[in-house]
Amino acid sequence: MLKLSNINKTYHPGTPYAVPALQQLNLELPKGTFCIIIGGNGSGKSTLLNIIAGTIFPDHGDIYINQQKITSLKAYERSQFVARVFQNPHAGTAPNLSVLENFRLAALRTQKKKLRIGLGRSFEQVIKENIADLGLGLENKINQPMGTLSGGQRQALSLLMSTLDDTQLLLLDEPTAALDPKSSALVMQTANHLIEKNNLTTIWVTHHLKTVIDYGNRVIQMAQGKIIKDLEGADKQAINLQDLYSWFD
Amino acid sequence: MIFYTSAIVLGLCLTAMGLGIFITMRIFKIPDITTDGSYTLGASVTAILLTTGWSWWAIIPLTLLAGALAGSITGWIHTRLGVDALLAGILVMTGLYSVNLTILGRSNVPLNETDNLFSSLKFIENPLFSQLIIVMGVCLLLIFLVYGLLRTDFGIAMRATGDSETMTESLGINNPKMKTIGLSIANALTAFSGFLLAQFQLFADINMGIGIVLTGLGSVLIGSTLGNLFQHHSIFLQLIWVAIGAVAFQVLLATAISIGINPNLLKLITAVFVLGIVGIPKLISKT
Ligand SMILES: Nc1ncnc2c1ncn2[C@@H]1O[C@H](COP(=O)(O)OP(=O)(O)OP(=O)(O)O)[C@@H](O)[C@H]1O
Ligand SMILES: [Mg+2]
Repeated sequence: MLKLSNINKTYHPGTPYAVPALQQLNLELPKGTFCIIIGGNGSGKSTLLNIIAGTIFPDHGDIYINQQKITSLKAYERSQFVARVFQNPHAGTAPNLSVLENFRLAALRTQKKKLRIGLGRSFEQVIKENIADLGLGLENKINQPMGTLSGGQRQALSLLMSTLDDTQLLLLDEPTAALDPKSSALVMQTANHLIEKNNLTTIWVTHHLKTVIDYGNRVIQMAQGKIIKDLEGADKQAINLQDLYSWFD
Repeated sequence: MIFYTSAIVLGLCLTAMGLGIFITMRIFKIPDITTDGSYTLGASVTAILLTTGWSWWAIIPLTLLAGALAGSITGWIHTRLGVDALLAGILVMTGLYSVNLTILGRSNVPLNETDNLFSSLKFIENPLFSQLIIVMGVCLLLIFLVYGLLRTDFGIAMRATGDSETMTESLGINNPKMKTIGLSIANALTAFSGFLLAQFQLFADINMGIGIVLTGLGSVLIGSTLGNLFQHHSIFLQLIWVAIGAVAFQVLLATAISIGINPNLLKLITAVFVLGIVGIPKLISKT
């Protein structure tokens, strides 16, 4: 489904501040993989997600989705395949638009935004049901501006938004970092529920080692722009927290 | 009475520009001062075509197109060349001065002899009231059009672009293109104000646009200050408040003149008004 071959990315190349953020990175994710990425600060996790999403471009190497080379597609073009949830809930939603309007755009992620009124009764009904499924009681707030909701509520909604329109690859960069423990647990459960329900190919970056135990079917550790550990299947299931801590020694 | 009615008509003529500035400033959060140029551009195109015998209705699409072109150049300079929006606007506005002078051929073109929007549609004896009704109708139509646009999927995408570019980019929206389209629409509306104003005051003048962007900003700011007082947050009401703001602004200026303030000071008063609207809430909230 996703293939990265020989990706290199250096920030500020040729200056004293040059940072080799990704080095000769290769990665292949078959469809349905739920991959958790861990690694120290500055190990290149966000850079990797941004390169997949197309908000930054690699210096070398190619990116394929379903055998199709997408290396030169811009971020807004890659949204055809890729949905994202950002660390900051403010980045992934528009605060001055109503919840429903946010969802309207998310429902059209892979489609043209045309000159027609799409906010009809039937659309509203579908979205209401979807939001009600989250069990947060937000279905009665769909006409409020998104900015009036809490960070956790917005993050839960942006997760739902990311799964609305034919998502092939879901990228989550520390989606719970800005949330309190309760909201964070809730968002994780929501994410897990949506990922399993839609059988999404997913990359989830986290600093929460417990997430690795509870979720996903593959785990990758990064350091200095490289993949240094990669476990899946039974090996992944066998990991315990002690092992994970020892990876960081 | 006539004096204040004229001020109201003038305010309504400038509402189109107010709506344009609402789009750039409130929706896209871009400070666009192409306005000064595209306003005169609209008036120049109108004046020159009216004097060569064109009908007023045939001129409308050309005015809009001229304004949209000016806006899209600003948008292109800003989004493709990465030039600051303010500077991009100044560049186009400055360039437009020569363009407008070339179109007009001289610094002032009178339109007394021409058949225009207001003379053709005049339906009651009193010319000023006839103008008032016509321009009210035009404003309502524009407000409904802009409101309709902002309600469409495309319009929601426009509004989201000004709100969170990270989000829109990840939802398949081409931000630079969207901003360019927004600037085009805004400047088309501004040029349309030029179209109305040239026919209302019966001339087009190369200097008529100087500082007009402040009038537009002032209208939007007065409108939103009043709108907030009434807790009006719906887009439709916000657009209505732009129109009310534009009228209120002209009435304020008219009042200033009627109490004997030297008309030469009008621009200074405009600037002080706008400063007042921006600054007073800050001063109040500090104490
Ligand atoms: N825009 C940038 N300009 C310059 N250097 C950058 C930029 N973004 C990241 N870097 C550098 O690239 C390296 C990898 O950064 P990246 O953000 O990918 O790390 P990360 O694994 O996501 O870290 P964290 O866990 O702190 O989020 C770091 O050394 C960082 O300083
Ligand atoms: Mg990061």
